[in-house]
Amino acid sequence: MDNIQSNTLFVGRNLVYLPTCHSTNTYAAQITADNKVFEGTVVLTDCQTAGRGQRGNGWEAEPYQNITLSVVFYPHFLKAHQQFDLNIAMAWGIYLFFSQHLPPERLKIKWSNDIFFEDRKICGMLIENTLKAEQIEKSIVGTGINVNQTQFFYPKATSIQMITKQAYDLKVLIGQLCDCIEQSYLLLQQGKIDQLRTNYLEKLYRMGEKSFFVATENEHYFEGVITGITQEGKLAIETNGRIETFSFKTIRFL
Amino acid sequence: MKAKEIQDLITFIAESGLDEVNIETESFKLSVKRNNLTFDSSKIQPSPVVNPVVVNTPQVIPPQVTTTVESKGATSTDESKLIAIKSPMIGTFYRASSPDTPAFANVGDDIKAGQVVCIIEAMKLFNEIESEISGKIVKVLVENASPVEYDQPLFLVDPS
Repeated sequence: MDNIQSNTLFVGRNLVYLPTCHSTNTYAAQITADNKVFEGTVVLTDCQTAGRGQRGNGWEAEPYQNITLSVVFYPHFLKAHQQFDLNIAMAWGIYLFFSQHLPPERLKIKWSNDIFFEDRKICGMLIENTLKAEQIEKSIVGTGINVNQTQFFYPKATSIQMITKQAYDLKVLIGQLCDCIEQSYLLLQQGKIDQLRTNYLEKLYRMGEKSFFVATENEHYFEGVITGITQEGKLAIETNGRIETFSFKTIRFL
Repeated sequence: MKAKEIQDLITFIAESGLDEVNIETESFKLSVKRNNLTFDSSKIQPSPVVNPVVVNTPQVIPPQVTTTVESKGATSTDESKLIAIKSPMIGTFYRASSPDTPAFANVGDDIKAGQVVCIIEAMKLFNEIESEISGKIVKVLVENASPVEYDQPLFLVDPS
C-alpha cells in the first residue's frame, strides 16, 4: 500500500507504509525525533503487533482487516493548555469519516476521544504531543479503526463490517479518513474551535441523558446527566442538583 | 519527610540561585522564598536570607529549619546556579513512557536541550516534555504518577 486515494493538501501526501510494525505512534515518534518530516505524514501498517491505547493498555487489531495509522502534525498555533482543542478536532474529523458509512444518528463520540456505534466501540485514539516550554511542537495522532474484523476479544467492540455486513477496501477508506482529519484540523487552525466544540458536544455519548456513573476514587455509584465539558476537557455531570467535573480515569460509565 | 531532609532541601535551594520554590506532596507543603534577590559579587560575604519557611506537616519541626541558611561565600553564586525544569501544564507526571520502560531522566544523568525528560498526561493526551536546558539532573522533585500544577518545578538541573 504505497499510495492512497485522497484529495488532501497535506494529510497522507507523504505516506510511510510498513508491512508490519510494533506501534505506528512509536514509529512516527522515531522518524520525527531527529529531523522534521512533512506535516501530515501518515505512518500506516497492515499488521500492528503492539498497538498502544491509553497508558499501559493495548489496542487489538487483526492484520489486514483494520486501519491502524498515525498522523504527524505540528500545531504550533496551540499552547499546551489548549491541547484538548486538538482532541476535539481529531474526534470530530474521525466522526465525519464514520458518518459517511454508518447512520450518523447512531454514531457518538465517547468522551474523551473514542467513537461509539450505539454502545459499542468502533474506534480508539492515542494522541501524543511533544512540548517545548508551553508550545506544542509536535503531535502524533494515532487511530485504530475497526473495519473488516468480525470477532473481538474485547466484548464491547464492533466494526463497520459487523454493522453493515459489507467488506471494505481499506485503501479507499484511508483516503476518506485523511480527507476528514485534514478538514477538521484546518478548521482548528483557522480558529474555529467554537464550531468544532459545538459539533463535538452535539455528538457526545450520553449528553443530556440520565445515566449511571462510578467515581473511581471511592467506587461511588451515582446517577447524573452529562451537561458538557470544561475548557480543559473535563467531563461535567449534573448530579444531586449540582455540577461536578471529572478528569479522565476518575470516572467510569456504567 | 524528616527534619534533616527538609533542612538539606532548604540548604540546597538556598544555594541554587532560585528565587522561589514551592514543593507539594501528599504529606507536606513547602514554600521557600528569597528576600534578597540581588547578588552583588563585590560583596565579600553575600548572605541570601531564606524565609519565610512554611511547612505544613504533622511532624514536629525542630527549630533549625527556620534558621537562616548562610551562603558559603562568594564562590557559591558560581557553583550553584541550578535551574528548574517546570511543568508547562496541569496533569499527571510520569517519569517513563510506560510502566515497564526505564525513566527518561535520573539523578546524575546528563541531559541536552531538546531531550525528553518526562511525560505529563491530561485527559488521555500524553505530552513529552523537552528540557530547554542542557546539564546534569541534580534532583527529581515530583513522585512518579502524581498530579502536577502549572509551573511546578519538576527537576533541578545543574547547567554547568
